[in-house]
Amino acid sequence: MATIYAVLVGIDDYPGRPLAGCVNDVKAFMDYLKSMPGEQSSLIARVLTAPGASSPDQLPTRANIIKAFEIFEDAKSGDSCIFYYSGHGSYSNAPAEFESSNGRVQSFVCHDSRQPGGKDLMDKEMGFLIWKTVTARPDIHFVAITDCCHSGSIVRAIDNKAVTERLMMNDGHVPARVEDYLGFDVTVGKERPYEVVAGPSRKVNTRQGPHIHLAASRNNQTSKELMIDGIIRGAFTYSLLKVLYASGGGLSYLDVMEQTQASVKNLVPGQDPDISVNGDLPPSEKEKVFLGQKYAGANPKYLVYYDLKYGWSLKGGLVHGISKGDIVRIEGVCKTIVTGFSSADTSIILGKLELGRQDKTYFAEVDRQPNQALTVSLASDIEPAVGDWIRQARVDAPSPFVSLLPEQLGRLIIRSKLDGLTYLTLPGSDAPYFIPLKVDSPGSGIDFLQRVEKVGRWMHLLAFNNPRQDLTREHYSIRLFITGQIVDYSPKSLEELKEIEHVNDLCYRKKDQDWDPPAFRLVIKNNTDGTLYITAAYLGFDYSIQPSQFQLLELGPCMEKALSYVGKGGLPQEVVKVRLDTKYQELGYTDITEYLKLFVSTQKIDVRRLKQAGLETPPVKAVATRGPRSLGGEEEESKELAAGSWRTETIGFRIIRPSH
Amino acid sequence: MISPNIFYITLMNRNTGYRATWNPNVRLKIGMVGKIDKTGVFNVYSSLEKKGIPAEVMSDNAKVEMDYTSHDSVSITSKLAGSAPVAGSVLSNANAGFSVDFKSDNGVVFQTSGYTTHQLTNLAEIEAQVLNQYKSGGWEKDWLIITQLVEADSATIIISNSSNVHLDLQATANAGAPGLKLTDASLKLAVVREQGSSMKYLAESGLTPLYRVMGIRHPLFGLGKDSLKPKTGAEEGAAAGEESDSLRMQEFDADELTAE
Repeated sequence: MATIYAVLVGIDDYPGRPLAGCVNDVKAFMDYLKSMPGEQSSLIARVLTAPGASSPDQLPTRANIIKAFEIFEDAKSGDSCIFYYSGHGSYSNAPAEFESSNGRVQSFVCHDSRQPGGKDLMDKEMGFLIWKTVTARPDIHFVAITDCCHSGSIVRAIDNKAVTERLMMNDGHVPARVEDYLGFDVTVGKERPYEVVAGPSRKVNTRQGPHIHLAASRNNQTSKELMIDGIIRGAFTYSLLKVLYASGGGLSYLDVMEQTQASVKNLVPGQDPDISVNGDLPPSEKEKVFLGQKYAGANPKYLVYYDLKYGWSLKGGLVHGISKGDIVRIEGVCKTIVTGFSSADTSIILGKLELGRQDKTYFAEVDRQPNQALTVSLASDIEPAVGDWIRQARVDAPSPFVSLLPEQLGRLIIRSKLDGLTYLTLPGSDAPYFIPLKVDSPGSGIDFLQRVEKVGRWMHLLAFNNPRQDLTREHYSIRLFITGQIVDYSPKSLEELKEIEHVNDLCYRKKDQDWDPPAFRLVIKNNTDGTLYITAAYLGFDYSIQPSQFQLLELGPCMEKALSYVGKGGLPQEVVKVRLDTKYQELGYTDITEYLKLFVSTQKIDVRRLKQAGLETPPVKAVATRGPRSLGGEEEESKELAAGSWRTETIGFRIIRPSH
Repeated sequence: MISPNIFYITLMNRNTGYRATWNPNVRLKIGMVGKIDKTGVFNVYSSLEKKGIPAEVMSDNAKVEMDYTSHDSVSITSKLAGSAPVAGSVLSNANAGFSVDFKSDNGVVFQTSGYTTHQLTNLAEIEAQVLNQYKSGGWEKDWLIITQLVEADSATIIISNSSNVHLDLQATANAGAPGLKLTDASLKLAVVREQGSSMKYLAESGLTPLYRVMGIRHPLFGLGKDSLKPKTGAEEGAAAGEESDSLRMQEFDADELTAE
């Protein structure tokens, strides 16, 4: 049985700029922790609030907040530690040594921060406290939840630009030098939290402890509080707890935050709660149950919420194969219809009285129309019994991604051999897309069609693009760098391609007795005066789709950045190694083609539900070929971009590895 | 006593999220273009069709009964033919019908039996054309488009207009029906006694009691309340919308209304 250790900080009682909802938020959060469903056996909490402190050591002063971290020292393997903060945030100029920042550092404004001699608790100091906690106890689970301005960056890298209404300006209440930061001289084990890089200009890198951070807003936004049901509350904390109570504890961090975002949008404008994983935690940690160690169950359902611009909406769209007219089933509430799309990943649905007020959220299943299905036909010489099982499977487990057409009309053909082994091919070909499967029962017929559906989903995504091209190649530019004759994985040594081809050759290079895999680096520049988001999904040779291995890229006006890949270690890398796996080599392959699908948009696009595992690949002599797709349309005249504009780019990589 | 229009529109919005049509018997149509005045009336100025903007509409019928009656202030007693009379009611032993008592000044009976939702679906195209017309002076900033409309198959709406309202409604047809519903048009309900003042729409078909609008500017600003400091998401969102000149949902805000 795990224990939850919590430090909860709420500060209303600031001199000069008091707040009114932070202590309410702490009380509400504490109530939730006490009532939390799940396997936690006990809760050990330290609460620091002002007003509300019954003794000086319960005041949320800088020293008390730092000291409160001591309760985490009792945490053991499997326990969860939470740091929750509701109060003012601030920023100030960063010491020159912090190379990664844009010149500013964020901070928590403690109760005594603005007293004479008082200091803020800097974001890097909070990072140190978390690092110190987690480094000494690597098997605990640490979550930071911050409901304050610019909280998206408060315990991680900094990129703040805006001055905000709930921001308390900093007038010297910060450490003057890097050496003055809490923990600068500390060593835990053999590691130090601040790594000094000597050189002509001294730089200081800070270490991050593995933790999940739920932030009330993004790093250039304000977090707001307002009167809700007669009580002043932080919009984020109120929404987060509402979702947690409603879900009964079974939702993943991602799903919790997705619903929280929808709820916050209906309360206040310009505030988008955000989630990040830090340190060397893999991105998949977001898919674990909130404050739990288990992964949440697969959730094929889509969030239904009220969007202030378009009305009732569904967090699933064209990119998920949803089309206009699809039936949306909200269990126990009503069924409704998809009427259109506000972005690639969001549908507008027909409003219904049963949906109630705008602050409600639901989960829904979608009955898709088979209008984007992969069309398949049974071969004329298919074994009659196999044909019957396939037809029966279509009835028993209909799929919107697969449509069975009369003989010879399908894009692909289902064939069988005398022994019942059944396979999928191109017309006029005998080369299977995946390893043949024996179809001799209703269950095996369904298994086979599920594999065909994966091929259909993969092909749908490969060919997918926005028919309305508001966004053009004039609004952004892409540069592709690849490894050359001598493989060197440092970013500067990669060579830029003069032109990005539909499919670009990436060759293994022999080094001594080994073959070094090739790598690429993709750099994207935003040519607009707004923000562009780039989401990526990787389409594997085995029909797998990996939507979460590339970090979401957020590009401000005229900004240029490289796409980052997050590997098993959890550290983002700009140089992405690609491989022709041993399993393909053993099947006789010397080259395979895989694709990177980019979604370029003016709003974030959620592609994580596209994820699918791969299929077993047949040996080389028998495999069907897949045609490359174009890189996109012709360039068009530039025009003002509407909210929700998006476009896709498809970049193919032929990974070549000689057999000897 | 709160003015009936304010009470009714606010209550219905709180229950459904929609704007309530005032008066409830006004028949609105999807794609109508107009302004909402300070009494909550949608005044029609034009329509998408008249403005040359093609409108694609999707509709869906739901055979469900919805009840948004303010049960804390209204009591409804049904009486089957042959059952004992309700105390204080003029309905005789042989009559079938209802006794409706409003316990306070403000009360609403709102029941529908089946409804159809109509919704504009080509919002992107509409937005583009509206903004074009707005830029060329052919579209007023305060104009609103009815983009979602609820049409009741049969609805009964009673809104108290004074204190101590009491109504006896008698079924003048099909009185032997085993289950009585206020929305059953076949009963041909008639008012046989009325105490106090109320607005009544009994088992009417085709009422359009609820709707949503999209527009460039929130009605609050059109009412000359520009100086109001935004305090809710909807209002502030409207302000944001005003800056970017986009078409967006314009949610109801109680500050829009003043007493008739």
